[in-house]
This record gives sequence, C-alpha cells and structure tokens, in this order.
Amino acid sequence: MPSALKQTSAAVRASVHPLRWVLFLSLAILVSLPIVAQAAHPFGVPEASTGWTAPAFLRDILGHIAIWQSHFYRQLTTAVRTWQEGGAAYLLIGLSFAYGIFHALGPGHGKAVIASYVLANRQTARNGAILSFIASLLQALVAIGVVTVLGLGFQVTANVMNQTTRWLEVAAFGMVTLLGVWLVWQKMIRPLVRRRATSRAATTGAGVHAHSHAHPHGHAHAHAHAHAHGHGHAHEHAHDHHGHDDCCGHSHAPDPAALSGKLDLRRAWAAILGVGLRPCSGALIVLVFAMSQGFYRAGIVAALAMGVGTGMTVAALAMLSVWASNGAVKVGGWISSRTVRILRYVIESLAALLVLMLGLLFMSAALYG
Amino acid sequence: MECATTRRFFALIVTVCSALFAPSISAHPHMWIDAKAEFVFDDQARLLSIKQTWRFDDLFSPYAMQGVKKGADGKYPAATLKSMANDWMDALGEPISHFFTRVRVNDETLGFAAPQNARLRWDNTLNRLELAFTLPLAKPVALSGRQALIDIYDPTYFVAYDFAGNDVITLSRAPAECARKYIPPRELDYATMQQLAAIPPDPDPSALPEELFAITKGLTHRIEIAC
Repeated sequence: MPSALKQTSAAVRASVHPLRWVLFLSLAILVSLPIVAQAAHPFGVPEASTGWTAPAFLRDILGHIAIWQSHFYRQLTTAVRTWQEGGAAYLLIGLSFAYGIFHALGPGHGKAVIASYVLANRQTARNGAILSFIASLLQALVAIGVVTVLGLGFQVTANVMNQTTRWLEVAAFGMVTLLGVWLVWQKMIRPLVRRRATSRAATTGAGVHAHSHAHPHGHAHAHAHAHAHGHGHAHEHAHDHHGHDDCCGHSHAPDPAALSGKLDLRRAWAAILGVGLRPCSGALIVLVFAMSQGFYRAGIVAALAMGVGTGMTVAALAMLSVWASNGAVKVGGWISSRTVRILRYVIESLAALLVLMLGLLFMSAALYG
Repeated sequence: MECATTRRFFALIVTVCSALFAPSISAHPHMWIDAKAEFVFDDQARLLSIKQTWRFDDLFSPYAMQGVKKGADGKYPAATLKSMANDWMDALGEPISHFFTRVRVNDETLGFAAPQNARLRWDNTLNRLELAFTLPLAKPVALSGRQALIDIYDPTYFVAYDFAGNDVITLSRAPAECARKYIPPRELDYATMQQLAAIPPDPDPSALPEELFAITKGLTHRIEIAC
C-alpha cells in the first residue's frame, strides 16, 4: 500500500533526521569548546585556558596564527583613538576583521559544531556558510549586549562582567550536556530497545511492514535479499528503514529537506546557540575600552567586524567539510552495508557518551574550576 | 554502494578525524605587562627582597577599572585601588602562581614571605594601571661567590612580560662587587609555548614541570645576580 508506506516513511524521516545532526553537533561541540578553568588565572579576563595539545605538525602554524592575532589585538587601541581623533574608521574595521579571522582559526568559535551540523544534514556549502555567519554574528551581538547592559547600563566591575561571561559559557556547556543526554538516549539506548521489540513483532508474522525505529539511523538495509518495497507483504525479518534516498533499489521518496536546499533554522537553533551564546573575549575587551574612551560606537563596529571575520573562517571550514565529505563518499563503495551499520552504531554510541561526559566535564570546570 | 548510508558514514569519519586534529588552545598572551624589578640588599649584603612594578597594557587597564568611578579629584578612590591590589596579591600568591617569580640559588628554589606594600596606581597621562609590590624572600640569602637566578614569567603565557629600557632592572644597596645580567626570553617561540601550555597544571606546588621546562628552554625573563 503505497500511501501507508509513504506515511510511515515520512514518520521515520521525521524522527531520524534531527537525530543525525544532533550526533554530529555534539561530536563537534566536544572538540570545539575549550575547557574552562578561568579561576586559575589571577588576572581573570574571560578567556578559556589550556586544553588539548595540537599535534606537532600543527603547532608551528598555530603559533604563528597566535602571533598575528596578538599583533592585530595590540593595534586595536591605536585604531580606536585614530578614529576618535578624526581619522578614518577603516583601520579599526580592518584590524578587527583580521583579528576575527585569525582568532577563529584558533580553538573555539564553533567551527567543528557548524561544520558537523552541515555535514550531518547534507546542507549545501552555501547554507553552511550562512549558518556560520549567523552564529558568529550572534557571538558579537552577545558581547555587545553584555557590555551595553552591564557596562553602560549597570556599570558593573570587571569581576561581575567576567562572572556573567562564565555563566553564559555554563549555559552553552549545559546545552552540550543536554545534547549528550539526548544523544545517548537516541543513539545508544533506543536502537537497542526498538530492535528487540521489532524482532519480536516480526516473528509473529505481521501483515504490514514492521517498520522499526531500532536502526542506528544509518540507512543500511538488513535485507538478506533484494526486495522492492512497493508491496506490503509481511517481512519476517526486521529490516532497517531509511526512507531518505532513492538508492539501493528502493522507491522511498527522497528526503525533502535534503532536496529543498533551504536552511531550516528551527533545526539549526541548537547549533547556533551553542556557538553564539559565548561572547568573544576580544570583543568584550575592545567594547569596554571604547566605552572608557567615551567612544562606544567604535567598540560596536569593532565587535561586529570581528564577528564577520570569525564568520568567514568558520564558513570556510564548513564549506571545506562539505566538499571533503562529498569526496569521501566516493571512496566508500566497497564496505558492506551491514558492516557500515554496525560500525555506525558503535561510533555513534561512543560519540554520544563522549558528548555527555564532556558536557559534564566542561560544566563542572566552568562552575567549580 | 552509493547510498545515503555510506555518505553519512563517511561524513562521520571525516568529522571524527577532523575533530581529532582540531586545533588546540593556543597559549598566547592576552595581556602585556611592562615590568621593572629592583633587587634590594640588606646591611649584611644579603639579597632581601624584590620590588616589582607591573604596568598593564592599555586594553587591560580600562577593563580592570570599569565600573569604578573617579572621585572629585579626578582620581580613583584610594580604598578601591588598595583593595584591588590586595585581591590581586592574594590571587598571585603561592602556591599556584607564586607571583610569577622564581628565585634560585645553587639549584635551590627560595620561598617568599608575604608581599608588602602592594599598591595600584592609575597613570592619568598614559591611562594605564600599575601594580607595585615588594616581594621579600622568606630568608635573606648571602650571594658572595654565588649566583642568584631569577625568572619572571607567566607559565600559562596569558601574560607577556617586557623588561624594556635601560634602568628597569636595578640593584639597591648592593655590595659593589655585585653585577646583574638580564637575559631576555627567546623570541616568539610559540611552538614550544604550546607544548608548555599543554602540560596540565600540577596540584603539587613543589612539582612544576612546565616551569622548569620553560626555564631550561630559555623562555623566561632571566636575571642573574652574581656577587
């Protein structure tokens, strides 16, 4: 019965689709968020401190990036004063933009989050770039908001501002934890539960497709035989249902979200917030400096330029990852679908656990570190 | 098979691999301090204390003073400055940061007594904040025939010190035969700094491998006093 088939496949699509991006999102968050240990430094300006080591081949490059970032950073005050004293704003805009680009090349700024979300949803490179800019500009806006409300409005001290930033980070890390919990549930536990339930149902010889949700959200098929699914006779084995692509000889409708090419902001909100809630520390300091000079608009312009700069770096990475993944697909033809499915389940479960653990670790470091 | 499965699986692999090679935290300075150090000797020609003056950069200075209003005389209230200075001395103290200063004589690291005369000063012309304090040694040490090696730096590389200028390192009331030598840190070796910053902080204050590593690698501001 084609209409029942379509209904079920639509239902499965709806349940599966967000889960995949959650997986990649969380996988990515775990590497993009540096570990927070701010209380450790006596001059606690909000900036995360040490985390993992880069492999040796990256260290030199990262070192040079850090040097350039510092160069641009130190020139920012001169640029603000130049504009204030009647010069052009271009110096400040250019420096802030350059700082943003190099700063985002370092850790943080959600590169891996956005890139993974884009990969998981098979977004086009274009949508990936748009997402990157939205998230990065949100970071700039949050920084502007924090300084405007707390600095200009309530005129709090540095300590209070640092604390607020830390709480925003806790919120972002909290989202990671929640994602981790959801992921462990969806990727690890539910597939096991459903698979057992479905195999029981299948052996009773139900007359309709035993569409099981107990698949690892990959879209492999456990068919021992090739089968066209146009007809609704009983299958005595629990088969995995994908309903996303029209490959593998099945006539399921392809995933409309993948086809449409439109950016689904409702799905992307967690990725955007997880990245954007943490204000950029460089922006915070420049905003406060501009405020102290009585020239706040320079701070706002600088923060926004930084946001555009970080957006560009993150967008470039998102687009690269789309192209890389498209390239990698071609390599994978020879692995059997069953192996893929099992591997996927193991990797996804481990990734889900990792996300949960890291979310808790980040949060405890931010709260008690 | 060119299936969505395979595509997504490899997207997963690509993500995991790129995640494993994701850039680490770049330890690099976010704050710059123009520093001065004066080494004070006592009547018995022993090294008594180090008077340090740290002038913060022009981005950190207004950040640190935000929310603090200047008084009618156009200056920050002395009480606020004093309490800020005390807070910072507490934060800088042993055992975690030990004031970013390490004194060694004959391979033995000397301890400090409680810092004195901590004060913060706002320089109105430069618009920069200056922290000054006196760091006494726990026990004054005689340097005759020996060398004192003093290293000043931040092991986390959050702060970059600079001893620029001719008279920033001085000896006070020292015997005539004492000489001081300043060895600046190696230039911009951020690759090594990354290595250092990656070593997790050791809770045991007597075991600070990253410090010793930095010292041996020449990454600190080294002052040698020989009498």
